Amino acid sequence: MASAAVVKRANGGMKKGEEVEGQQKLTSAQGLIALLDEDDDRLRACALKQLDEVVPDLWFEVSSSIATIEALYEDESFGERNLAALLASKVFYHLGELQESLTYALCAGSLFDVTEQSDYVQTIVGKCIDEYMKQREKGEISGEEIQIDSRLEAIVQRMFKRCLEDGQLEQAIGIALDSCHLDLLRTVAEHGQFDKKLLTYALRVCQNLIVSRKFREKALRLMVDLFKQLDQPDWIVISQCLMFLDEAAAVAEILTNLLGQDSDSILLAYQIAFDLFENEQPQFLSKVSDHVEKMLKKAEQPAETAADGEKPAASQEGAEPMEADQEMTGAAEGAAPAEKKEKPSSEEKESDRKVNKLLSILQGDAPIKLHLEFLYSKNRTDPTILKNLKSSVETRNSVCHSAIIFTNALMHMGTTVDTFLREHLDWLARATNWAKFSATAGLGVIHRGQLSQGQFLMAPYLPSDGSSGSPFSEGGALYALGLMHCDKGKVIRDFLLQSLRNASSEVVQHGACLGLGLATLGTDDEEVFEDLKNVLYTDSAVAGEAAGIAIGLLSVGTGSDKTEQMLAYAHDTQHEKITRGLALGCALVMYGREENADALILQLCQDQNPILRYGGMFCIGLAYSGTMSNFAIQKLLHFAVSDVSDDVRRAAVMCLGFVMYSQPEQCPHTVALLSESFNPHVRYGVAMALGIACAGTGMKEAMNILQVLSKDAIDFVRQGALIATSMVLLQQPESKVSGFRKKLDKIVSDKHEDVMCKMGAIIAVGLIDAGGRNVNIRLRSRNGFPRLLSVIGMAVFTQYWYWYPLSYFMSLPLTPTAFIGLNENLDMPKFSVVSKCKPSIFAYAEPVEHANNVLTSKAPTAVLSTTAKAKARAAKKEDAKKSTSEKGKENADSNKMEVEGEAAELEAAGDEKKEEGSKPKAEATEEQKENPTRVVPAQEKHVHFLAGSRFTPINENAKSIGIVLLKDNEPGKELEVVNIPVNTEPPASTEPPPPEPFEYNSALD
Amino acid sequence: MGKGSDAMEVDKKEEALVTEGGKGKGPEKVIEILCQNVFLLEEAVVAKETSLCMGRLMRQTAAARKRLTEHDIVRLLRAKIPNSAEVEKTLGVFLDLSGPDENKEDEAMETDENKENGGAEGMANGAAESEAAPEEKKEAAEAKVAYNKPTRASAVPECEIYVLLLAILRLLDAGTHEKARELSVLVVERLEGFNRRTMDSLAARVYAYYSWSHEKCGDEKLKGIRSKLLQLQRTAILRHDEVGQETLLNLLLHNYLHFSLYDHAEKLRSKTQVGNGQHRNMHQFCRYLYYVGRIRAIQLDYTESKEKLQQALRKVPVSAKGFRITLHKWLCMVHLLLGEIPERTHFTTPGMRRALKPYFSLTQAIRKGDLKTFQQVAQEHWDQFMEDKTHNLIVRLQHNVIRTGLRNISKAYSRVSLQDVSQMLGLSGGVEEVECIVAKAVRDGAIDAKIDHTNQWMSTSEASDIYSTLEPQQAFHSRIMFCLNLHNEAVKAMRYSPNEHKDSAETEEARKERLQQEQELASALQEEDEF
Repeated sequence: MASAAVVKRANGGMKKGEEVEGQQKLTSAQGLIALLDEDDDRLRACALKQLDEVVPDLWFEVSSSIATIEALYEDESFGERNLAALLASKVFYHLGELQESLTYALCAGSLFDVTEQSDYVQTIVGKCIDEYMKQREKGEISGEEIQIDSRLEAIVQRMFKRCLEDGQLEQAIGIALDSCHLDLLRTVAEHGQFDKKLLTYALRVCQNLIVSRKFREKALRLMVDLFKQLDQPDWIVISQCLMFLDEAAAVAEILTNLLGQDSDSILLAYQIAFDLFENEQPQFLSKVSDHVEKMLKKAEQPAETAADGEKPAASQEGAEPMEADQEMTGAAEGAAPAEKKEKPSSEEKESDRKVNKLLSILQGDAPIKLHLEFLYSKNRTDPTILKNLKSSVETRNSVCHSAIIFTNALMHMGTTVDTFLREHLDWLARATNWAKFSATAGLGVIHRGQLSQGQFLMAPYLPSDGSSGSPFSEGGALYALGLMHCDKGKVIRDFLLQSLRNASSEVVQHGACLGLGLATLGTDDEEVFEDLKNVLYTDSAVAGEAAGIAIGLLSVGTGSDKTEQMLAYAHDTQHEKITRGLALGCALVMYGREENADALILQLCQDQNPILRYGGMFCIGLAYSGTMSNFAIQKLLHFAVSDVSDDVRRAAVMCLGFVMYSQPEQCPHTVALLSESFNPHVRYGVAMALGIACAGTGMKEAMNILQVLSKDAIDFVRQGALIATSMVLLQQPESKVSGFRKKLDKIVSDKHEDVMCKMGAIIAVGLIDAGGRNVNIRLRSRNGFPRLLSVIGMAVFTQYWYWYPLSYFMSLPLTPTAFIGLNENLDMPKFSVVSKCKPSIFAYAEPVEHANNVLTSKAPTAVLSTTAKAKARAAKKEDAKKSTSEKGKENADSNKMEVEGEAAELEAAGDEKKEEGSKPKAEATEEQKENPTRVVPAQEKHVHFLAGSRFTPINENAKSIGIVLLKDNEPGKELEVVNIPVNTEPPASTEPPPPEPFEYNSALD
Repeated sequence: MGKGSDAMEVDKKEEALVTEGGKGKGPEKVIEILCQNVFLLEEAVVAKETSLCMGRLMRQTAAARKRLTEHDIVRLLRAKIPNSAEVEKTLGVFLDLSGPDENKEDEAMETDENKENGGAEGMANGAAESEAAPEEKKEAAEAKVAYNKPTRASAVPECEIYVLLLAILRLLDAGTHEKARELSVLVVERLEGFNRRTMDSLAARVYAYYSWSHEKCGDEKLKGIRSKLLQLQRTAILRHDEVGQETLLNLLLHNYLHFSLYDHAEKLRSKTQVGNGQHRNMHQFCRYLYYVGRIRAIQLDYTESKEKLQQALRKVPVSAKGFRITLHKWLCMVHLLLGEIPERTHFTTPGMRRALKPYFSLTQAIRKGDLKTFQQVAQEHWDQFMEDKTHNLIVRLQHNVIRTGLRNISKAYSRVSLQDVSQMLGLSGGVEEVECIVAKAVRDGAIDAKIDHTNQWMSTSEASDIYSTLEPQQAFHSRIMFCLNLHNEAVKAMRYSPNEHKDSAETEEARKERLQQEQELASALQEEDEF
């Protein structure tokens, strides 16, 4: 009885529940679904309609009969097919099957309402655009015409139009570029009336976000077109784009056109030329200058003779005409026309002069000279640091010894100051064999950029007919010549070639190969190639390695098929060194080729020989340098964790730095995990990758990782971390660097420190103060293009792991951080910019006061240091007084020592200010910086041009860094020109004679 | 309103009690705790990791919840939220500010900073400011500086939502469900405007209270939000908001189960893939398991139901007592339906004894196989069972009672007439019915017996030795498997703080020392060699 009651009550309960359900809108779709199986079309249509309404709430019920709905759509005789498709699309959408949903939504035709503001429609439209882009991109890459669903296209077009109508032009640009649709891009530009800001945005997107190189070129070509349609075409941007497209002729045309116009345009032409030079594309620049010459030949006959008379002479004769050129505009323009028989009108002379100036910029003579002057005059190297280094390191340790010589070279890079070497000839003489080779090469670094005097300076060491010097110094000298003339080596090409042919010792061959490679960088010179190949085929390990690298340098970035021969020989030879040289050479040849290098990359990466795989890593790094390509990063990461060879893994991680330097902020977190790898080689690679990618940024994330690595248990990891840290901290405000300096000091003076780590510290000391504290590592130009010389210099530098002399390639990426303002005569007018921050923030580092005695430095007491400081302060004050009193004589006596004195004075002033910070006299919040001046990257945003001054930059957007051409607003007025007291004359007259060739001190030989 | 949902709410309250007790220190000012929370939240948002801090945040909130007043909320709003005037206007409708405010001086201070925002409220407080004693003011300021230096308004919208959440909580606690409901609707609307992953955890909380407040306002309201929840769930899936997905799925399941729409619930559940089967939030996972257990029980899949419910019981936090009780009830039912007798300890857990009393008596009746007692118990507690929504299962249990009775009989008698069986079981039907019942029991394997139709009796076969079969081995196997699974799950569930290993890295000094020692050892060995 009772049980029945229970059942009844239960039923009652159930019923009650059902009633409640029945009152509101449908709680179950079962009934409607059942209707779908009816025969009557009207019933089915009605059911579909109702289902369409309830589907958001009851999709899970409808989804079980999705097959029926699909069948309804398939049924051609059914009238409401579209409705069925729409319903199916919605159900799939709720099921999370967006692809299917999209397909059915497209089938629904007009029922799918794009304008609806629901999640469903927005999601499907988003998916639709994605799909469209994917298909377009596939078509773009494969090059075939891919048939795209017209309905898909219609929807995208509709969205695109809506973007335009709503004024969301940046989004429209995104759609256009992502879907590889350049017509659309043009439409956007037209719609936006060629707004400059918009175009600049588009350009940035084109440069940075387009993965496929082919399409990027297309897009940039369009951008050039669009930019040309501006009311005032931005020639600077256009020429940068053209540079990427390798359209030398077009650039040359722009330049010559500008030259023919008013003075502003001429300035602009110069500015463009300087900017192009800054991008370090030697091949392109030489092409441009050739075109410019050719064009002028056509334009005016007389000019032809001028250009003719000068250029071929330069290539034939070598030094002398170049010297004339080097002496620059003033001399050259005076000399060249003078040679000519008739120069009737002054007008023509004028135009000639302009052309010569332009050419001198394009060919690098002018900027190199300016940089040389800058580095020379602003040199703030602290000789005490070197002395301290020297005294704190055991001389018997050859590794540290040669590291110090390298450090000296770095610190004095481009400053022409070799006093340290000269003062310590005995000490220097301890460098024997390859150390001697390196030491001699160091001279090339110090005198970098002295194009005219190169051969003269190195004469004592160069191989000559009569005397037979040590092959090591001869080889080193040839290498030094290469470093000195890097990529401007027309002058010495023949000499080096001759030396290579004459060389009997493999050491000299080694030096000659490297020198030749550097001098003929990127020229793809067949004759040189043949000679290098001959050296290679002698199968001598030392010379062969250099020849391999040299071939790479010779054809850098050309992607030529020489790689086949190189690879073939790399397989043949028994010498690992040669294989490595060739592998690296292949990587250099593929520099910046992106997809074009894929075949070679694949070949190298699959090779059985780990050395070739090692080359493969560099090939990825260089081919995709600065592209942030996902493909490259993935591949490198894969090898970094999976290869069996430590070398390959190390290289793979290191090369991440090359791929990522365009967006340094991405690098630290990419490699953060790898920095905890158990494998020390990987950790070392992480350090270097950070150093390369974040060079000169002082980025905190990078520093955090490097800090950990610099305490690593393995010596070479610490070495890498120290070198990388100094790369990252280069040109950072002193407040950031001082801690690191102290640390380096401690490591160097610590007797128990490992040699490897010590060497790293010594190099780091040199790097952080490189180039008289006036240079920075810049792997890409201010316009975001990779800088060839810097990148390959860095790549070869990392080979110091195997071969110390290659470390001297570090001089290539070091670029002056100068602001140089020029007028139309390419003179530096007296002019100043204002830096709106405290001078002390970006001041040069204070000089080290006392030579740390090795013995006492172990336990320096607090008392000692303060007294030392006090003494120093007193001394400095005295010094300052002295120098002010001498100020009057200063102009007459432009001795270099005086310049240093001035520096000391300046620093003393800064120093005092800092130390006496507690005093009420506050530090100035801004300072005037005289042209030329050092502007470090972090300072850039604080430095402004003075409004209303006589000179204003020709390019109104110009940043106050680099070489800037200035427009003279008061042309009539007398001009005051900064005369830099540089002595670029042959050193014989003013400078003491070159150092004694120390190889004769051969007791140790 | 089901007891289950009540119980679910309990866990939060229980947590509050525990943390409050655990603190030990003197009670902080509510506003201080809240400011601390906002600070915590801000930091988490900046670090883009809100889900980790949510636990702490809610615990601390719960600690203050009892003492929370409308004034605290408004004060917090003024201190921390940039466009407070706007929010305040919205809140003003809901919050009853007429109650006494104990900490006026605090408020006065805050208005200082937000003068530009202060509308009418600011004016009122301006008056209060003059009354406030300067020392007190100073004290309060110091206390505040200690934990949150930036007294500036927080720019993150999460904080605003947090304040609104507090308001909803307050309204719910005050028993003004209708107001809470309206406010929650507003907040949910506001949440839809954001697409921030840092908002997810907070939003999930809001959704929970959204559903809860609707439930409080009656079945109709709860039913009304179903499509809204579905829509929110869809949005959460599209935005990869995993916490939101989990929470909303549970809310939906709860919603359907509340109306006994088991079929709907199961269909929805099976068609929704939650975060690749990996739950982010343990609480939500517990709840999900519980719902699945219920669905399975209704669907006659008792084994799986038991598994899910047991899993849920294992994972549920100790403090969530109400939820545990509910789980126990269902688990007990499933045990009984499986023909097992739940352990006595189930019912004797302190604090649950009373709540589980009906089920205990039920179990006893079944254990005896006494149909009469069973029916008595069922009738007696019928309302309770209805409330627990276990009544359907109770009906099914009747069959089990008979079967247990039969088993007892078969153990006791080697041969017994069907008439007697009928009498002993207290069945009302004739002999034929009993025969059918016995036949079914034999076929199902519940008893090992034979029916002699002609003589109308049932003869029982000899009980065989169970240890000679594979059964013990299988039982062992299942237990071992269970232990291994438990171990594996525990290992999988372990979490390590990401940077812990870094601290343990060798320091430079330690390395040098080690190297030196190694060197000394090496040289010592060398010396030994030489000798």
